[in-house]
Amino acid sequence: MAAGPTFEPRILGFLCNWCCYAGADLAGVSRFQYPPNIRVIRVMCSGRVDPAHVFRAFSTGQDAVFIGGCHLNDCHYVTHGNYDAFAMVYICKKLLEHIGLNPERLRLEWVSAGEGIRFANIMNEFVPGIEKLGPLGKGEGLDEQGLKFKLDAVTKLIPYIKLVQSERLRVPERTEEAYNKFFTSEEFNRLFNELIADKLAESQIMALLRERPHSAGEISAILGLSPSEVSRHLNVSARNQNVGTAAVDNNKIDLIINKHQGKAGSLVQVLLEIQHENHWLPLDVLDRVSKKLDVPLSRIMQIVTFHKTFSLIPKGRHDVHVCTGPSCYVRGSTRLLDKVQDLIGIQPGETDRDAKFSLETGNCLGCCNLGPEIIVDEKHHGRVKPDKVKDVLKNYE
Amino acid sequence: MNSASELEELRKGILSKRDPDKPCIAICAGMGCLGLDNGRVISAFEKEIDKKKLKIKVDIRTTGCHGYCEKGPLVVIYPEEICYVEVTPKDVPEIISQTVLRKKVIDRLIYTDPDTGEKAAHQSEIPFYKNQMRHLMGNNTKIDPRSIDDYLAVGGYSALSKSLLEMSPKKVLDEIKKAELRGRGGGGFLAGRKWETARNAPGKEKYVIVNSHEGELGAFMDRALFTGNPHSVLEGLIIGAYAIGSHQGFIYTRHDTPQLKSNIDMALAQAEEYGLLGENILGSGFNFHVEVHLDIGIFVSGESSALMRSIEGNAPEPRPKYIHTSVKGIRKKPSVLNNVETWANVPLIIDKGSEWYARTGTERSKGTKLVSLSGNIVNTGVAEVPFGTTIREIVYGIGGGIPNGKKLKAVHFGGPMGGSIPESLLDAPLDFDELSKLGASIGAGSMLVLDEDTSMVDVARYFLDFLSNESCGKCVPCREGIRQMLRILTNIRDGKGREGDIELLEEISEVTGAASLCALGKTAADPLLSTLRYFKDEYEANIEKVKSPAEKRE
Repeated sequence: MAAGPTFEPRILGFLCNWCCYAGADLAGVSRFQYPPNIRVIRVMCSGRVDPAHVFRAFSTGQDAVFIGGCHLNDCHYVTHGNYDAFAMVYICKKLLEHIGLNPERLRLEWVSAGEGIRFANIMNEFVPGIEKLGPLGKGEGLDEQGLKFKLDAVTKLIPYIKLVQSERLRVPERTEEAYNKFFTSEEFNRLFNELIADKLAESQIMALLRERPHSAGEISAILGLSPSEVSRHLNVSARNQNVGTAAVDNNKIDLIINKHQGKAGSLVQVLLEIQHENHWLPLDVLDRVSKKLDVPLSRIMQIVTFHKTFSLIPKGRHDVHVCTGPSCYVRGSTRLLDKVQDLIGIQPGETDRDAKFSLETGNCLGCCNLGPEIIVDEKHHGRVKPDKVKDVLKNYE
Repeated sequence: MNSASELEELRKGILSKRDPDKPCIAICAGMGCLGLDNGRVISAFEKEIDKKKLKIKVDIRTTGCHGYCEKGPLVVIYPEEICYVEVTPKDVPEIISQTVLRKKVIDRLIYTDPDTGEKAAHQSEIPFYKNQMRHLMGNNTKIDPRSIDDYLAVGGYSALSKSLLEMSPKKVLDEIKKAELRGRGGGGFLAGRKWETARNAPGKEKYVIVNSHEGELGAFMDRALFTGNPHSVLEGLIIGAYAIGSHQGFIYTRHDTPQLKSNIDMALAQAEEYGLLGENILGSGFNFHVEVHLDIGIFVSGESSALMRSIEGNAPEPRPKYIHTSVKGIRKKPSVLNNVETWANVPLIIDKGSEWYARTGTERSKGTKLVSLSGNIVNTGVAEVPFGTTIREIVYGIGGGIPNGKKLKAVHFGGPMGGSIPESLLDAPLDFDELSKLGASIGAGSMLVLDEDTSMVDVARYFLDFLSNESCGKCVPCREGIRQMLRILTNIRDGKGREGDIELLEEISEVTGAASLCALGKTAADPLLSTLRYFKDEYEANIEKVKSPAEKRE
């Protein structure tokens, strides 16, 4: 154990006024012995404990959090708040696991006012367990900064998570079995990944980018995501106007705009040319176009997000198009595309880790005699068999 | 230039400088051949000619698409018109020393019929070309698209001078109407009537537009024509503008074919320099200017109202067309939108007369049509045939049939908004109305040939998948209808079909067709319906398989 016997875990307890707090009191009055690591905050109901409280506790250096409430169906309120605590803890555990922390650090127990001995027993078991886990973060092999970063990202997302919980993750029936069943189901897993995990990744990427610019490769290394995922998240964030700043020569932009005589009708042409020049459209550039052409940014965004041609995120050095037109399709473009995806490890619409390739599927480009074909940077490579893809792509650096 | 005589003098000057017996090497630089690395062939020719110091004796001409893309890179040696196929840089020295200098035909480079082993040295003897009528494409081998002189040398812009200086706008319009020129973009609407509507529409400012978007999958003939002979389209556009009284034209074209864009720009600059474009064209007092707009690569922007919105600088979303764009188009002004091929037909009609023109074709579809052959066919490429040619003739006579000894299953017309016809109907003529009756509208002219291994359910699904990505999403019937049809079709393909699916598909397609805003939604179900019409058994078999797994096990 790296921390050794000197490690004294800091544990924060949220105990419900009516049951667990009274139970803990009874344990004290009855002189039951248990390790003195827990600091207790009394709440009126375990249902009052918010994920924000839990993550704030972790962010401020607690090694574990304990929540104690009344036994299920014994809640002193008609709202049965302890079921809310039940669901909340399930989701928080999932979140902890997701960011690489041991979910055992969060514990929920039902202790009634008469169960002083139970409270002491739980503590006798919980505290040594946490001791074994070691300090928060260190025990899991996360560095301090990474830990803080991840906890911040989750904390920022909590209002959203609560919304998702009330909208999509509600268990219709208030029984223990129903809760256990739902939160251990594949369905919950899927919803969690779909609704929360993706958002969390985006939130982490945003936090990273706020610090300083990172390449897609760096992001994927820091967060342990696949390049394909990073690219997908960047796409979504860009559409929501969250990312996209880069140093582009403003003079160049002005030249392009002036070439089209600054007419509002030439907006599309201006955007196309900038896209061609720069390979993507940073937000500040769009802002400049908006001011220069006197077109609202909202309309520019409408056009930019309407077309696949425009990109709001940086692209790779080489554009790889796999034609998926009907002629290529009947000549086997699907297998070709699979092979390309295998080789560079990304899906259409994405950019790989080293920003070398961006992959797109192009609809018919009118070289049907060449099908199936790959077009790299406007150079056509025709009649490509899947096993020849490597030879085509190796020429690009 | 300020008059017709000056134009004729210029033409004479160009012709007198040209020796018809001087060898000329025409190398195809069309899209298809570019992909086959013809760039290296061209530079090999240049180097070889430099090396042998033949620059004065031999001309090199990089031309637009010759049409026979399958056998590219293509090289035609004039004046003998010897056609070499699949030329590689290694062959170049031999071609120069043997064919160009000694007039000897190199046997291994000429076309050999894969079935009979017969050889054909001249372009006109190759079956692919022999069975065509190349009114529009024929000049492609004789013209360097970047040289207006080449176009003038084959008689270019004489139709323009004829209409501007000898005919009234009304008379030009009448000629087009008499020729019964129909829009080649897919609708088959009479161009003359469209022009007339715009001509009679109130307002002084009117626009003409070349639709070179060509989003139809598997269609590449407009590109071949426009890239290879941009002046013919431009000439047609100016004549059209004169007929309806427009002074501003637009060319709307693809952003992903840089070659096309640069050829158009070049053509515009040259025409302007020669006084064939701009103020007071040929001294007639008629002014006309052209702007080039690039599309942004979405299928629906080829739709007329969407295209016009795009030219205005908006997102290309269609609008309801209870008022035609020929009355209220770009900036609410009358706008005539025609396809590349339609415009290219105009000089031909003016030059040779509507009577001559109407002699070719069928009763209601006149002239020739460019088709692009693709899919499971031996000869991929662009072919030009008179209307009325049977599909069988095109597929077997020109296209050379199906490769690998497979049987033909169907021919699909018109891309994602067209339809398929089965083998049994191959004797149907190429005709707007005849094919529509069979449920396979001709579209812009793409012919996708499918062999016996193709699953028609998968083909229908493929097109719907494409359309679901390309629908602009503005109107619900299109956006949701396509998505639901795609879902059902995917299920059927994956063996998860249910009884009643076919009826449901028919029902959805009816609503989508009736309620959608633009042609994309209205015709989205066409491939589905036509495959249902001729290949229903395939759908049923797919569903049947699931329904009785017990039978399948036996």
